[in-house]
Amino acid sequence: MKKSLFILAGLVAILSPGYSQNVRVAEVLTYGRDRWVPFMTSNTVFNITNTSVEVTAISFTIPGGSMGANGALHITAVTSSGTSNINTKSMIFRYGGTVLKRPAMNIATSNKVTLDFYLFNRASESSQVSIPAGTGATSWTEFNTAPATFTINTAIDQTFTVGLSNAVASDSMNLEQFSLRVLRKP
Amino acid sequence: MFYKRIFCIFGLSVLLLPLVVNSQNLKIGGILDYGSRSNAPFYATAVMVNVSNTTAETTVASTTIPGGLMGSNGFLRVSAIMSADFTNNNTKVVRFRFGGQLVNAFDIVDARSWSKQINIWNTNTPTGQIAGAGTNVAIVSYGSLQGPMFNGSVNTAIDQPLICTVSNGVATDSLNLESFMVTMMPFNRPALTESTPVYGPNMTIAGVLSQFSDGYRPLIVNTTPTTAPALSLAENTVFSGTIPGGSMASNGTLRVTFMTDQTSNGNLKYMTVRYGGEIVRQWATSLTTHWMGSFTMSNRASLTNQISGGISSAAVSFSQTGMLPANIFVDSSVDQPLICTVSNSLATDTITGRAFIVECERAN
Repeated sequence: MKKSLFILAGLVAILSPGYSQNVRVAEVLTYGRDRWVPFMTSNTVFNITNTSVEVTAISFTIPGGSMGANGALHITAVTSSGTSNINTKSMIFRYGGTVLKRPAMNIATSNKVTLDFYLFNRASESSQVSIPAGTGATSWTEFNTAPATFTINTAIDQTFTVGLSNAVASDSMNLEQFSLRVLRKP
Repeated sequence: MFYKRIFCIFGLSVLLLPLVVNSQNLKIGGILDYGSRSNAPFYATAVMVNVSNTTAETTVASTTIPGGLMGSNGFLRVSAIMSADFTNNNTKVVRFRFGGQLVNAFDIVDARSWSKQINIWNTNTPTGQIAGAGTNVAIVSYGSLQGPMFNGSVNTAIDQPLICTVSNGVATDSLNLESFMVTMMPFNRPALTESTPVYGPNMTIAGVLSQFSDGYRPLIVNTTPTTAPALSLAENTVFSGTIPGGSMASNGTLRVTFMTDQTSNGNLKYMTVRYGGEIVRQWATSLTTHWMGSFTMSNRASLTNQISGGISSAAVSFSQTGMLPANIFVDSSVDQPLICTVSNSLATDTITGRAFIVECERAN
């Protein structure tokens, strides 16, 4: 009985298409993948106050090889400030321990930052490019610095973290929303 | 006997494989992981391409959009990063062309790098498109935009090239394509089958392509122009739709993208988006010919609590603003209306809704 089940499963595997959405990709083309689902999402408030020490709000592992040599990470996040002043309040995105981006709320009226950016593998699982890694808080615009390049080995499991940091301890900031998607392209 | 063993091993691996690879319901660190392997860009390259010592327009990225893949209401989202090796005031132009038609051109004079995102929507027909920022000089992708919007007539029923070019105004300058990615959102497109001859030679399709599965996909695509009544200061609904109950699940996200065109003067024009009667985003713009915005609204580990963009006098989308996010309480487990209204601060002004797109990213 068990043998029959395994044999049946084997036959199903042989006859089934290679991808989960009934799409078989023979070589380079991978289009037609209509589903975008987050690899990681957290929409509950994470607050830090009365500390100037960086606090990790989210930490998870991206399995090695998930992106593929030409894949990307798509990161969206929203932070808010409980204190509207010019003190720097940062969120810090790290992948494999490397800071990808450190956007800051730092103008007197700033109460919110919405971020939307990608990290692209550059035909290699250990070479990446993204928007500048500085404190700028705008996603789709011009920058006065060069794009950020990295040498993170995405072929192995790597930790992704989102940290929050107040420059002045008495300030308050919140991570309101975070999503990360892995757009796989071998 | 040998083949039975092979099948047994293969069968066992197939039975166990979903536990390892198919992470649809996997939790990592207590937070949901929704299967990274479900996502893939239509086209992506991040290999640097340099153009220097020439003033000629040079193609730095190119792909082909197969005919029929977008449908009548599908859209393309192009995301690119560019850089310049020298910061100066010389003209440096980046252009995006679809089917030979110029979708967007922008001229950079003193920046070091740019991140650009363009949405190209089919307008109820496979042979008509609109897109923000036609041939203006604005760098921003979302916000108040000067210059004409793109009104295209590309026949997407047949294969069409989508390319990015750069040109230096002074030959000694040096420009780089850093990354170029195209994602595709078909809508109102017939299901594709293996016999549908729309894919390239390197791809076959077995069975039906799942285009409305439980992932991130368009829920509302409306590109029918709707102009608010003349000489009215009242809020006027230009787009509306229904978000099906439960479609987001308790951690899902709606992404709303819109575009308007309007009288270009200093008078403020307002846009308000309401979900279940609650304001989730409100903006104002002036001194622009058209306006493009995008925001997200997410369920907060609950079907009845959402975080969204909030209210701002600024027209920007993905940036730093002086407003707090909106924290609202709408029961997303039942059908809820999503309504977009516009209004003028001076009755003689006009404002027209041109595109209203809602995508849903489901997460349990």
